[in-house]
Amino acid sequence: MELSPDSTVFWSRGPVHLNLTIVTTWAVMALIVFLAWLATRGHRLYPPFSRSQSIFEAVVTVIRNHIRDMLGPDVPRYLPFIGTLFLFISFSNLLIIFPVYHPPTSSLSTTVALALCVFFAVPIYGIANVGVKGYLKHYIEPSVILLPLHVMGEAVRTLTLAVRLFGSMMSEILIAGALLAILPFLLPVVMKAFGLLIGQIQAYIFAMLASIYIASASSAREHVIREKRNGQKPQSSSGRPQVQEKGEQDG
Amino acid sequence: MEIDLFTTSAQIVNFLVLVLLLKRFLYKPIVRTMDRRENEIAERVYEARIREKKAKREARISREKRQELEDRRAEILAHAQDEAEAWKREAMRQARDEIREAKARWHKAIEREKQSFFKDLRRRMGEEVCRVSRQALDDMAGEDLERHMIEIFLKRLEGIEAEDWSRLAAVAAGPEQGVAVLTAFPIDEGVSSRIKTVVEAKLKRHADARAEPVRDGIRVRFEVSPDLICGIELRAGGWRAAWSIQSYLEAMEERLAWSFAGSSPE
Repeated sequence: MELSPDSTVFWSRGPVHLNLTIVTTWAVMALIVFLAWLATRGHRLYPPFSRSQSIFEAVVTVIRNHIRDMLGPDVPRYLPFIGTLFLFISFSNLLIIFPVYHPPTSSLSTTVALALCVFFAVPIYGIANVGVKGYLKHYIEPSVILLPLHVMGEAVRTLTLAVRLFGSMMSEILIAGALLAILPFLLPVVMKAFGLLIGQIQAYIFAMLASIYIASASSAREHVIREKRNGQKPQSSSGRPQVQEKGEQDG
Repeated sequence: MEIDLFTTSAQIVNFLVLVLLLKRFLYKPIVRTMDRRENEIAERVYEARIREKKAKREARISREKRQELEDRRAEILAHAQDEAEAWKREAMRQARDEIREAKARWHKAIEREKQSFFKDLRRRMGEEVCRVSRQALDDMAGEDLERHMIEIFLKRLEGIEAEDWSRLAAVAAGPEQGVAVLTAFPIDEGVSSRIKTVVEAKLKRHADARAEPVRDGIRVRFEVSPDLICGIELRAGGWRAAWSIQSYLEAMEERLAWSFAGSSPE
């Protein structure tokens, strides 16, 4: 029983090889991009909407609201990264309903790759938000003694991200395989359904944790902004049109 | 369960490519569409609020105008009612006055007609009474009514008080010069001379008694007046002595009037 799709290699030349993980990743990418293109191809401003437009709008709205709650009103900056994390993991895990499909997320290489993306995204967003000095400053806050702990925490949370997702998907495959050997009927179907749920929860957890890590690195930025406002009335963080206020001002 | 470095690197690249692809094909168009929709909805809501405010303002103005019109209408109505009431009172007063005047005119006309009727009745009755009396006397007693009346007249002349004769004589001696004897019927020469003699003698005697001698004598003239209705009258200036059935006719007329009125004179 193959536990990782990495071991299924289709083509190899030197260090470069094409395994099942990469192939299924491309397939999932192609599917997501195709569905996205389908949703936005004839997208309408007002109902009736196509099914794909409705689904993608609902998903994007949920992600945007999540980002707005976690990271503030600058949603467009974070949406591509966190949204793609969620969509990729979600679609990868959703396709396990197909019998021959092996999710790329059950490969430790994939989960590590995604965790590394988050690992690098955190300082990039942090530096983009508060600058190098501001970002590095939060490693020595509240005391310089905590610097090793901060660095260790960065490494460990990247590892936990990768292992959590990998473990969840791997365990699902293992349990499904084991149950298939013990009781070939009904129970694997239930476990498959359970695996679908687990996969979606993992996608959500991964995206949420990524946003939390980015938010923690950007917390210094909000502190700086608050100081700059210097007691001015804070603007609405919703980013939605302020109908009432506009109306009152104009009216 | 090992980490393949190439696969990991490839997956990082794949993920970044997917980020770029989704940014191009999903997030940008969908977010743009949703933002446009939100903005348009916000604008519509804003316009709807503006229109609502405008509508409320216009409704308020309309309500005020309607109230104003209602007040004006009520005022005009009250004014019209007052005017109508005044006109009604004035019309009622005029109508009452007109009715009162018409009633008075009607009463006068009735009275005139009544008087005319009774006058005519009296005359006709007198004529009829005279005719019947004359006829009855002539047929039943072979007597002449007029002659008897003259006789009675002459007797009555005797019965006139001396004071009255004196007054008559004074009037007859005045500027009007004379006494008129009016009869309802023509009298012959003999009768007239008898009357003239009696009257002149009476007047002369009473004039002498008053020491006011009559210079040229008192002239007695005779006239026929159908209005007297079977009677004789002695007239001098404003003084007169009459014997006719006038008083009987008046009594009869009074009784008839009472009969017409539905009650008796008692």
